[in-house]
Amino acid sequence: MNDKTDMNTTNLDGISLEQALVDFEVANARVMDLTSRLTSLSRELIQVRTELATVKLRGAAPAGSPAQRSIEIGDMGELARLRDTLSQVRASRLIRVMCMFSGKLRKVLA
Amino acid sequence: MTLPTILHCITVYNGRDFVLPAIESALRIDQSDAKIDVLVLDDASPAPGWSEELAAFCKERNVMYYRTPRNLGIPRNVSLGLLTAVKRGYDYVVISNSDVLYPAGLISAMLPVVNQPKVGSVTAWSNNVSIYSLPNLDPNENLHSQDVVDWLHTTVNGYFGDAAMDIPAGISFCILIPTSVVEDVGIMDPCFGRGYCEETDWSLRSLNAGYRVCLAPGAFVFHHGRGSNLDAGLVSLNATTVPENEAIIDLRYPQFRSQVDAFIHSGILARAHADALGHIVRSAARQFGYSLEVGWISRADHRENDVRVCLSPDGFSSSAQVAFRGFCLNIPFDPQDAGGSIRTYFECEPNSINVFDRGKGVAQLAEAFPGQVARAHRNYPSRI
Repeated sequence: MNDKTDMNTTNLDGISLEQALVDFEVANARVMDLTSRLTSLSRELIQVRTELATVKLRGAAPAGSPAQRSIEIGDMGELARLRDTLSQVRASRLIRVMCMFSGKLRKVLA
Repeated sequence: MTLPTILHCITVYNGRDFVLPAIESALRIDQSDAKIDVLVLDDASPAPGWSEELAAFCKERNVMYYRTPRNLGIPRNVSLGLLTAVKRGYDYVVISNSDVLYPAGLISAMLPVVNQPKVGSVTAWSNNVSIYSLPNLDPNENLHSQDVVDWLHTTVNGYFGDAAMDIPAGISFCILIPTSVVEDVGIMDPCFGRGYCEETDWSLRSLNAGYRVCLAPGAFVFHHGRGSNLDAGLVSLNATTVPENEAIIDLRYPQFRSQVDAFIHSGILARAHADALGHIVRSAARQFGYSLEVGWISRADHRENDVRVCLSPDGFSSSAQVAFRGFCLNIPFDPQDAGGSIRTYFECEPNSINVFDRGKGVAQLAEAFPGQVARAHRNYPSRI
């Protein structure tokens, strides 16, 4: 507080304080609302940026190139091929026998 | 009959150069139509000794003075005035900057406007208030005088009376608001921090609540312009606004800028400016007299109450330039009927006719105003 307030010829302290308390409550509510909107919009922003980057890469990479294949992972292209190969390896009789004797191989193929 | 009551709030932050004349000016406002109490809201001015000086000044003149314990910023300080008016039972509240000079007839002119149907706020006309300004070459030099402000107010009031012009947003440099509207619309939003645009937001909220936002062209208040905001460090010398606050307005009211553009391009304001300036120069000419000056370039050494009509010496121009106290406008002029044009516009005879540059038009004027033409040639033609 400031001792200069004793110069006042009218006292508005009560009105000012009452409004300050209201402003304080509103300010708190605004902070919570803004925080909620900020986090929600941040999530949306990250998602939109990812989509934008994917679309840009898809447009820039030549058809059939490794870059484009890597983009198509989302469409199960390269990933599906990898999974197929792994299943075939696991199914091999030789590999199953080898797994009986090698703990490391069992871990790799788990 | 009981007079309505008005709390006239003047928000102050430093401003030693202009605050005291503003308070003096508020104290001489005519109270025949309302009882006016003046409240000075000192927002913890930091200038050494200034608050003490201001408090003593207010006490001596029986003006209410309140210094906030700490700086609130303009929106909260204005809200304090609005709330005080509501809680103390006033009928109206005036929110005003401290870098102004009011005319004596301010409230008598603004009350009939604010009492029109659905009017929620009334802003006075001025010389330095955004688009609601009467264009003047140098208002601080030409208009900064209580007598001139009174004269201008009386003159525009005589022409516009209690006309109400609907405008996109009010300006709180001098705005009159019924307290019932404050109770309905609320107070200034503190999200505008130290100020700027808070009254635009308030005006638009009041519009959304169904109230009209009006300008009173029949009330003129002198405004230094940005004096209080510069003192508060709110805007820098060359800046005119606070971009962060404009961004809030853009976010809340995406249509506002286009509404302002539409208002400006509607021609309503331009017409009001032209009408006001025309009435001002005609009134001044009738009251103080006027001179016709034949020359290529208007002279700069004007006396304060000179009304000068500059006519081109070639006698071909279809308009004449009139200047009075920094107000300038073009008036219609028929070179074939020089005397008729001038007499029709001013409805009185010129005091003098001075010829500074020779030309065909001089002979026409000599015919129209026989015996009045005085030669005042310069040593050489004024135009290169």
